[in-house]
Amino acid sequence: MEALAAAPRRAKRRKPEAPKSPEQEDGANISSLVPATSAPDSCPPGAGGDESHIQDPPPGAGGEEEDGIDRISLLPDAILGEVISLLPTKDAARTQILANRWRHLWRSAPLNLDGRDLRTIDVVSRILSAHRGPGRRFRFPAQHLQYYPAIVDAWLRSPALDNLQEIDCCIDIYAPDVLQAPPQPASTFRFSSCLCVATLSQCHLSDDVAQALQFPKLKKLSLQWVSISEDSLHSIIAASPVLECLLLSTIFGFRCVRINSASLTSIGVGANAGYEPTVTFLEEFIIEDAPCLKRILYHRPPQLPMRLQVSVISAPNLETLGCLKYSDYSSRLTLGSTIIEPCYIKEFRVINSTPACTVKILAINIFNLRLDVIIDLMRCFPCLEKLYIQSYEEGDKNLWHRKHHNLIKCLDIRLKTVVLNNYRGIKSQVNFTTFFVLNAKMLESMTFECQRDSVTDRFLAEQHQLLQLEKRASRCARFYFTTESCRHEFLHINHAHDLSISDPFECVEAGVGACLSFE
Amino acid sequence: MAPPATDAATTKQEQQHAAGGEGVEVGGDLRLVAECGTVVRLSRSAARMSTTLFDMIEAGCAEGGIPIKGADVGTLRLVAAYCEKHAPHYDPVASAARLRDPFPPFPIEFTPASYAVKPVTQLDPDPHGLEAWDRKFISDLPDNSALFNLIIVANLMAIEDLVDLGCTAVADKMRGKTPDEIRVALDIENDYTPEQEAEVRRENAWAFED
Repeated sequence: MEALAAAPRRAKRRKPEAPKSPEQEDGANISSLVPATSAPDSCPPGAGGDESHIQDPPPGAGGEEEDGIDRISLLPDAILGEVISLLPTKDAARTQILANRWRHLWRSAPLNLDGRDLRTIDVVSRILSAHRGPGRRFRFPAQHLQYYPAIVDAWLRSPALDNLQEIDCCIDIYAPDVLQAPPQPASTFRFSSCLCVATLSQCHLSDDVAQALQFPKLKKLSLQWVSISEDSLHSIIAASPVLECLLLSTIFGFRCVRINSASLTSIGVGANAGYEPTVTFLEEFIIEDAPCLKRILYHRPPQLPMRLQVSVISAPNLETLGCLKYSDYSSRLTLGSTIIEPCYIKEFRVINSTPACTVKILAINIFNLRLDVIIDLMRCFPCLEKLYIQSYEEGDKNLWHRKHHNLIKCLDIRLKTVVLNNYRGIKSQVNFTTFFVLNAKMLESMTFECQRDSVTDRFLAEQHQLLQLEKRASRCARFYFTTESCRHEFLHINHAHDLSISDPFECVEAGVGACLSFE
Repeated sequence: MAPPATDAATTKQEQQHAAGGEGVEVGGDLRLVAECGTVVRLSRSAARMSTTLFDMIEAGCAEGGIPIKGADVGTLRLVAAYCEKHAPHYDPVASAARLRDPFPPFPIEFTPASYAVKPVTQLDPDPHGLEAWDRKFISDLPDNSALFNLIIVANLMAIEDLVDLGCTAVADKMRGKTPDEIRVALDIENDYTPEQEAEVRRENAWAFED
């Protein structure tokens, strides 16, 4: 048989063949077909043995010879449909042309329709009328609700979207007209029992629709530039028993939301400071009871300040916070009785009464790089392991040897990773850095995001000396100087899906550059 | 729990399972029989990942050989390896509620460079190394046939996570390619007549625009 004949190619692998085991099933005479492989082993074949055998996939795995025969056609329709539904819309539709077998697959594969990529709304309508369903995911620009409400309603009623799992009314233009939010069509909510991910934007959710809803499967919800009442929002959260990620950014209709959710793991908050006197923006988020909450992330419109208060009453598993920004005027973060407030002169005013020992990751955006402020923040989070700092100017000299002489003796710095943006190697930054180099005993890496042209060999040699890397407190610490900076102020949240990234501050773009490290 | 009178090698295994199991599981590994008759063993905890096998265990008819029709021994072993690796961390509820995201959430173009540096400590990325293992598992498959056979058998045995993994791998081979490139990559024969092909193109002109 082909499968066994192919086995000799992999003879070097460890797995013994069947005949070594005394309990052969059936009368099939295996031994003559199976080539001698590695030394006999008392463990039975297949993967029933102990762990050490499981790591390697076995020899001759599924090995038909490569003969160019169209074997993908052997896969059942349902499987090919799954594959097609994983492809972008155009790619998926193009599979119809691969071969006769594929001609009708797309129309019955779960529909993954990204209306943002398609040129006209006619195309979307055409696809929906040709497709048999079910629906898997449907994305379209939210502004269509404003200009083509009847067409959008017809789309949502289309049988091609039955059993839709994800709906994404995405924002395309920023700062839409707040006063004229169109209603979200009620037909959207015919999917409420099957939706897993929902993004609603630039619309109004009326009470009679919102309060009747149940979302038994909803895991990720994003509301941006949405007009809704307090009762309705509370009702929606309460009606989503498995909700894990919630993004609430620029909500208007009421001032304060109370979050109570046994399932929520990550929340994104944003309050684009509005200038409409007649409109009330949601600016206070009270986390009353969120036992599973791990992340509170600020969803920040580019360059604009925010005005919001976040109070955490009970979130015993909170791990990740940020990015707190110096320019969020009239804002405040309250954790128990600890208060962190952006403040004009001092960057952040910190009143530390109840250190939050579960927080491990923090991102901060301060104007002047001031060590005092950072130390204040570190004392709020004594178990902090990762710290991201975006700064702009020097401000302080950051001399610390004398000033924090006593502090160093009792401060147990648990930091493992520090990322410093906008590093130019100037005196105050050097002083700032040496505090960590010489005192952070558990440090594993410090990353300096620099300007591309500044990272020369000479610069690196200078920094090596100035930062006193030879005398570092943590021998295994590595120091990286990258030539690309994070341009997103460390916040890479664009969508409810992004809320489930465990460290959303880590910037993939900023991973390039030379590296100074020591053995 | 006295181990059944089979060969000594299984005793330790069974004692482990007896100790770690839910108390009701008796007996040793399941015996899956490939099309050629070779037996591939699968521990009970790993068999949970297959809805079919799980139902059989519950119904008490998982003793003796379980023929897996149409499965060659190589593929069956791969399936078993996957299940054994994932079994300790398998959560049937999480698996059933899995979300598959067709689109990447944030469009970041990452251009690899000669020094690619990444800060080290991450709190919970792939805590059990399963994602890395899965990637290697797929990339180690010798050819497309192996992948397709894997999906077929996993589908037969109702191992949803493995079916997902396989489908994602196939989709990855197709994404961003022209139909011609896909045909080459997946050994698909174009059996359309020129007229038929033109008709498909016409009906779906929007998809073939750029």
